[in-house]
Amino acid sequence: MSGERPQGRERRTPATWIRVAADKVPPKWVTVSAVALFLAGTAAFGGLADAPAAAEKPLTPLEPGDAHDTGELKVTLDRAVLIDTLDGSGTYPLDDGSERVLAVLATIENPGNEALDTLSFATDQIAVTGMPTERPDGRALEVSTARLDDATISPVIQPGFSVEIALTWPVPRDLWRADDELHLTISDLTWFEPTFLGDGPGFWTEPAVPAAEIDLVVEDVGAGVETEDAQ
Amino acid sequence: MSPAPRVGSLAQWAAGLGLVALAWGVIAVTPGDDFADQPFVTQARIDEPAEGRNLRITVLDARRADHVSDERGWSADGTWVLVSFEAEALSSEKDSTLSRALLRIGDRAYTVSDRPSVGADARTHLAVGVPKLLTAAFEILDEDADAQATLELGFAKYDARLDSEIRLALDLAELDVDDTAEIPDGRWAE
Repeated sequence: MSGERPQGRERRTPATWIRVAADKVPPKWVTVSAVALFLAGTAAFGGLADAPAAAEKPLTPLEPGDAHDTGELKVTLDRAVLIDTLDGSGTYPLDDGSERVLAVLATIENPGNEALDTLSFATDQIAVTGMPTERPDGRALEVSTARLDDATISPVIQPGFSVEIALTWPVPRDLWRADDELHLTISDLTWFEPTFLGDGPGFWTEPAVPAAEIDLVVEDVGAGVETEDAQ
Repeated sequence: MSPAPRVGSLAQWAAGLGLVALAWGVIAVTPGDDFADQPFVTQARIDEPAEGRNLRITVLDARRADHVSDERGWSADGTWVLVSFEAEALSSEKDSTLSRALLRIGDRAYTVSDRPSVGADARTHLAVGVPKLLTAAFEILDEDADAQATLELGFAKYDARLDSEIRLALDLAELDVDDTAEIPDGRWAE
């Protein structure tokens, strides 16, 4: 458009005048004023409607031992246990005695075709109501996972396998006591299949939507039980 | 316009049909969308070195076992496939970790088991010019014990596209089956 400069009489015709003017308006102005005009137009009819809020799914209540199918995996929460220390769990309470270990024993089945990372599952999809976010020494309070049979830390579950896992948190000593009810929420990930940009198979991804809840009665096993140390 | 001579018209028709046929041929031989970002595959054979980008693998042995142990006292029952191989980087030690070590059986992609100790782990950092002797242990479902499998080794953990990949076809039914096998720690090859 901006190639040759119109010369002489040509410059005065209305068509060339519009072309020269259009060359001088930055494209940004054009888009911005188009959007402004569109919004002004909708405002005349009451404005744009709000985006529909995501419908809140009611949480499925679970009993201890009930399996919950997230689509990606099947998880069964069995027991909640308080213990002073639990070797091989990946959770190390502070030495000063201000913390204990909260362990939730779970069975996770991986019906899919890819190996499944238990740590990211526990981190993103299991929430304990009332769990602090920070430890007494200022570090972030994070969950650990370990296999019950050989204490592999942060294990992956191979396709088709079902594995018993201990989910453990370092918790303040008096936050929960024996016979308290521990409330947990299980969230389901969302299946995403690239259709427009990119290709390849789909995958499970955020957002994690709360889908089920369960109350476990806390057992206190005191100082600790003999654990089979696999190492 | 004057009417075209008849011979010319025939030639035009022939040329047109020829172009249609040619277009069909071009479409028929054009690779699919995913062709452009496939991994560069090197097919390997037992005891023969296979080279990819910055990677040389020599698979020495593949066997099955019903009970495995490692050098640190861990052991487990199950259906296990053990693949021992020599691996070295060729030009660079940056990102030269065998992050991608899969055994594909049907649609299932088993990763190297994380249960044996780290010392026996195939996902080791590789050195240039000094081969390591590694063992990849895969725990698989019993129903896959006699299946056709493909071993895939490479550096890319999440996205294997556009990098090289060493593949080895394994007929699990033909492998020797041990009652018990030890997974040795990774060490320098002799």
